[in-house]
Amino acid sequence: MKTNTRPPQLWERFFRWFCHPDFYEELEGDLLEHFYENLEEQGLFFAQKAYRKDVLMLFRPSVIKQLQFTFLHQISPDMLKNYFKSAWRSLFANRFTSLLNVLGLSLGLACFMFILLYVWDETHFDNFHQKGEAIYRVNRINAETGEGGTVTSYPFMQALQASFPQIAQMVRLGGDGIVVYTDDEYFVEEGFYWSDSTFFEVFSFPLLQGSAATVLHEPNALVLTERMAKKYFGVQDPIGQSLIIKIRDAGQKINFKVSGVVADPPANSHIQFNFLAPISKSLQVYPQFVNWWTLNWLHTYALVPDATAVAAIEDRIPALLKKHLGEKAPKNLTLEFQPLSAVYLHSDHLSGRQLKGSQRNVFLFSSIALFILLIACINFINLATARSGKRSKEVGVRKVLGARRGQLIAQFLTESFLITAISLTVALMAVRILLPFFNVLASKSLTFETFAQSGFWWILSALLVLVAIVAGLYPAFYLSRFKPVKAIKGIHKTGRLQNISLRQALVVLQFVISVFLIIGTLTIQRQLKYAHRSSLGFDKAHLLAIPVEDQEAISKIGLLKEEFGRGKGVAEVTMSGENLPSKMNNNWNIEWTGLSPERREVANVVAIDADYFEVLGIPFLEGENLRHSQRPDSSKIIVNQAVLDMIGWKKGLNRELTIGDIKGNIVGVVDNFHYTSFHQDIEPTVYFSRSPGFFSSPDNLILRIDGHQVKAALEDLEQRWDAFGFEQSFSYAFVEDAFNALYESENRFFTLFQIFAFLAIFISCLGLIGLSTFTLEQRTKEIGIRKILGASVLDLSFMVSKSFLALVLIANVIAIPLAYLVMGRWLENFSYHTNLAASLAFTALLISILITLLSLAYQVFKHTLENPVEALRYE
Amino acid sequence: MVFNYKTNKMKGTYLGEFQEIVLLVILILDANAYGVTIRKEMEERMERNVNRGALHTAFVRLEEKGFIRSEMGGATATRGGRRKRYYTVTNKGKVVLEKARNIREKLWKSIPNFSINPTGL
Repeated sequence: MKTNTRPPQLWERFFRWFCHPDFYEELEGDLLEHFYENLEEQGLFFAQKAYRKDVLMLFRPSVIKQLQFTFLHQISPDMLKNYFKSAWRSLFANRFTSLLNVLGLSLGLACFMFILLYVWDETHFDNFHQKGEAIYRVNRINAETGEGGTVTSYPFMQALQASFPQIAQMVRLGGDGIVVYTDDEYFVEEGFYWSDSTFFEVFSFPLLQGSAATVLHEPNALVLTERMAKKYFGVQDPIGQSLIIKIRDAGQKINFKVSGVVADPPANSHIQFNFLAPISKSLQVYPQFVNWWTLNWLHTYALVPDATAVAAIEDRIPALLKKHLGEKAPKNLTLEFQPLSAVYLHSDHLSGRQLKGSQRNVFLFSSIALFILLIACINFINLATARSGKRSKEVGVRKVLGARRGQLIAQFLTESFLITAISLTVALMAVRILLPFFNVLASKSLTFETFAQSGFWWILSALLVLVAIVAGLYPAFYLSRFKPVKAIKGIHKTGRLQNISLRQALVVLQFVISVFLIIGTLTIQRQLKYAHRSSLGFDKAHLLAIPVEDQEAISKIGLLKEEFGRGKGVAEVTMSGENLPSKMNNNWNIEWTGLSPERREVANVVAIDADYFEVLGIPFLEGENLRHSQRPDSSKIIVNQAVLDMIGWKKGLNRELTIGDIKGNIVGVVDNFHYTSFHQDIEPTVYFSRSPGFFSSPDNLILRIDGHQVKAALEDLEQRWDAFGFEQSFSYAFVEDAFNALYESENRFFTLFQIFAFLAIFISCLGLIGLSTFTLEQRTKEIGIRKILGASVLDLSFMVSKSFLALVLIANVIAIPLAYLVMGRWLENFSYHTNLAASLAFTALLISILITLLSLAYQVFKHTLENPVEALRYE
Repeated sequence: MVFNYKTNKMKGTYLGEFQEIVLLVILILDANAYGVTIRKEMEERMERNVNRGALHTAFVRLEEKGFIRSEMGGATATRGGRRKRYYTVTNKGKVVLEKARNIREKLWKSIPNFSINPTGL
């Protein structure tokens, strides 16, 4: 028999690990005997193969040691009572640590719950519609790029319904600006929509008065929301009453009859409205819409019960478009049927005014929630294992008295369960109290009632169990491993290499997350400041924008401009078809010689007058401004640099372009300027002058006011406006303020991010405090002796904090490159962004060191200032 | 609700077929019945492979029911110094074995006409 050939070592170890100690000896013997038999008869290779097979054959429940799961057997009602009693007593005995634990865990859980509420709300938009699964929004998209807009035109619905029997019902929603007239006043209202009579059959907005099938049938019918009914009719029954409404864009007044009242649309609906009127009536107001395929102004929804039919429908759209639009059909235009559930969060590829959330934000906040929870759990684990010194005696005594390991594990898990339960309760209370503040921050209207939903309770219970287990499992196993004799003698192996490393690794992990969040916060702050401070490309100081919405006023806009020009404190006036910031409502097809036939491009069009660029202070790159003249000549156009870039021309002067139905000659090229949020691309835009009467005609006046006479100027302007006697009341906005408001959502996001980052760091500090307390207690004797030998308080402080600082340094080394990578990618989302300077890294490093020192400060000083006599007396 | 521990479940006096064969083989081997020998003997006589783990489970069950008894002894160099666990059938085991045999014989005797047809069925 050869003695230098052995069975496969790994498998030997494996078997040794799982085999129950009671049978280990004889089974191992059997295995070896069999192995050597095989070795003699069939050689090493076969013998080893047979050995592996044997080991696997023995991997059975009756052979495997039961150790790991014995604690499950320990859960009987009598023992549970004892476990809870012990747990409760141990919590009280170590009040300081327990408090730290509960504090950290509650904070973590509270943050988690806030974010959970937020994410829950965002992902549960539009979920209340009964037929919701079959509802799709029909978007116009470019087949190649997949981008597009949410609005479609009037004739689409009939065409789609006629060609596709799989579409059960369709409904359109077209917004319009209105003014409501009561006996003595008028109100400019928003949220007025023309809709088909199928509205209440497709969507589930409960009607308080009126029946779904007929409420929008009558041509003059009007459905009000509860809040509008209350506003205009108070406690009276609004049904049958008449309401006079003027459609602003058409300049027509209509006498509507209220036919129904609907409950206010819930906050988590992307469809928000105040008034609903039959779309058939809109044809009386805008008869030209019937066949106007290219005027896209409404949202179209389709009810397709058979989900599999949708793809087939989408495939046949191009053919349908060709049939109806013929050669005028824009290439690559197709329709997308977007499921209702995707509308709110997954509409990033669609432009157009819409209530939409950001999938990215949801993802980001979810990650933060998990991080915070992780940090809290790490705290718990660290504190529990650090405490082990104090509890080793207890474990020793319990074992001597007969406790099995499984029972000890069960007991420690009960402790962690208890702490988690207490923390969860505290967290719930905190959430309840602080919810209104959170709503303000996140601009949401979350209610505590969301908790009442069944799904939520499952999540909370799962959370309780998960956190208790995750945080409690390792300490439970670690603590129950102590050998009784050694424990009672006081020999506690705090020096065991693995345990210290694990604890240190956990602290490093906590600080990696914290440093990452610090850098993230700093980056976001930097980007926002950059956006705020950067020049928009025009002079926005003391610039006033006055929207002219009344039809009459628009037709007289030239006179208005002159009148305002004479106003007190008014330096300059100009008019424009777009406000500032501009929404760019008009985009027309643009063509030029040399344009390849497959390519379709659009450009924004803005109607202006000859003073526009001067008032704004925008430099010309080529050519000159428009000339002042009585009759607007739209054949003379000015383009911005983006147009040239799109076409590929180096110089644009005197070139010809066809924009929409205008053949224009470029007389000037202006530098690109940010007409809207700094973060958005500057699109190709064409400027020309237009007389009133078109949709694109100027309907905004922009004035530059003398900074010292602002109040006087405003009063004067208002008087001059009122003198005209328009139905619209004087309203204005400072361009600077309007631009700042654009960044509101970003600012809000940033504030939330900051708060959560701060909380995460705070929890890490709590952990550090707890940890340092015990490490220092361990070293009291050492510190005492060093003091006697002459060390100063400063020396000692430094020596003691050294280890922690080292950990923080390591954390920084890991976190900084990681953060740079992630934040770098985030910044690229913005067309115009700042860079990641090295100063960020240094700041983060400094902050983390400072935080560490502060957390350690109290404990360190307390222990190093102690009288060494006291320290050494403990024996 | 109190959990029942798996270890002391009373399985009654049921003797499975596999367990019955194990008992018989132990008796055959007389004084030399331990894991390796029992398994080899079973494989030879039954002309099929015996799963080592299943065999061990059978040992544990039989011992729980009190049909066999085991004791450690006899380490050799081939076993790396590990002792063997020898099994012997207890009286209780022999009683239950004989009962099973009687039942089987009675069953056989009760068959009216037993003949093996060379062409099938």
